[in-house]
Amino acid sequence: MGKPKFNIIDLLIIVVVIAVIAAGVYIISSKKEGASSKDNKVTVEFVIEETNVDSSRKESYETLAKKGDIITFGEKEKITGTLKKVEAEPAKMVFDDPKTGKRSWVEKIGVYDMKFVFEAELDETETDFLAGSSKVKVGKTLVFSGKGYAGSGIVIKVEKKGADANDK
Amino acid sequence: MINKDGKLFGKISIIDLLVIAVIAAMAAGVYMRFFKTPEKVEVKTEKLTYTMKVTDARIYTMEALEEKGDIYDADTKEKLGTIKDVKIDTAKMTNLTDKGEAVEVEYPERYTAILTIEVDGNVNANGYYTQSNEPICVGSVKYFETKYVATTGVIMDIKE
Repeated sequence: MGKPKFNIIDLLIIVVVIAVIAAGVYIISSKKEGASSKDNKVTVEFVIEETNVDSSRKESYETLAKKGDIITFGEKEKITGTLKKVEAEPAKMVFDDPKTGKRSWVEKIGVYDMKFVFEAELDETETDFLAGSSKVKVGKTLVFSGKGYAGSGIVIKVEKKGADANDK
Repeated sequence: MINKDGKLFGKISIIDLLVIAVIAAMAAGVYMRFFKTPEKVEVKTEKLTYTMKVTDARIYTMEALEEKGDIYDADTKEKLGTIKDVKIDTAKMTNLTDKGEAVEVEYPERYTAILTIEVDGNVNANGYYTQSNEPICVGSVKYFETKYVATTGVIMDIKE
């Protein structure tokens, strides 16, 4: 086999590949720097609501989920916190009265909305409370798991606790 | 034109030509993105006040909005301003009766908030913008976040 020839085009390709790799490393490291600026841990109490839970699952939650349970949040980093309370109330659906047009809420049968109250040490930045890379704010979905149970729901309340809770 | 070795005019291969074309296109893209000076548009910077309406949201969203603070575009992360005031009212809706009459009724357990937001913005002949050139237009829908809440609102009006 003859000696491979190295020409100017090959050199250009090498330069471009190195430039693309360097750009990628720069972009990724910039994102990580931003993420690591969150070194301020605060105690936050937050509530996750899981809706339309059937009665058997509700009973399992009520049996297994106990005040003081250690809970992990998020799918990747597994940030931990504590379960403070579990509440269940009947799930509701909309009813529009055909005679008056008035709207009301009617309880569903055998279907519940579960509210889980948690407390955890979260990272506080200028813009977010973070459980790892998951934002904890009203309207965001968060997954959680305890001993023998797991769920996900929408965050409906976020409250910063502690001496600096008034620094908002 | 192309010989049996795949070389154009017997000198340079088609593959090499393609590689040169790709590199040239990438270089042009980098120049346009990072080095080309945008056309100068006359702007003035001033404090803008605009209102945004959040509709049919639950009480939890309203309570979180009452924390006020800075708001950001949820997609671009650009700052859209600071919430200065929050006015909350019960949500209303239009329903039809079985007689086909339209009636305005209350939407129970749902609320509407009017947020008053202040931002240091740019104003030019084309419109109103934040300092990072996020457009502020009446009618535009913003999926936004504050420290406490993520929700959607519609810009209702703008004042200089």
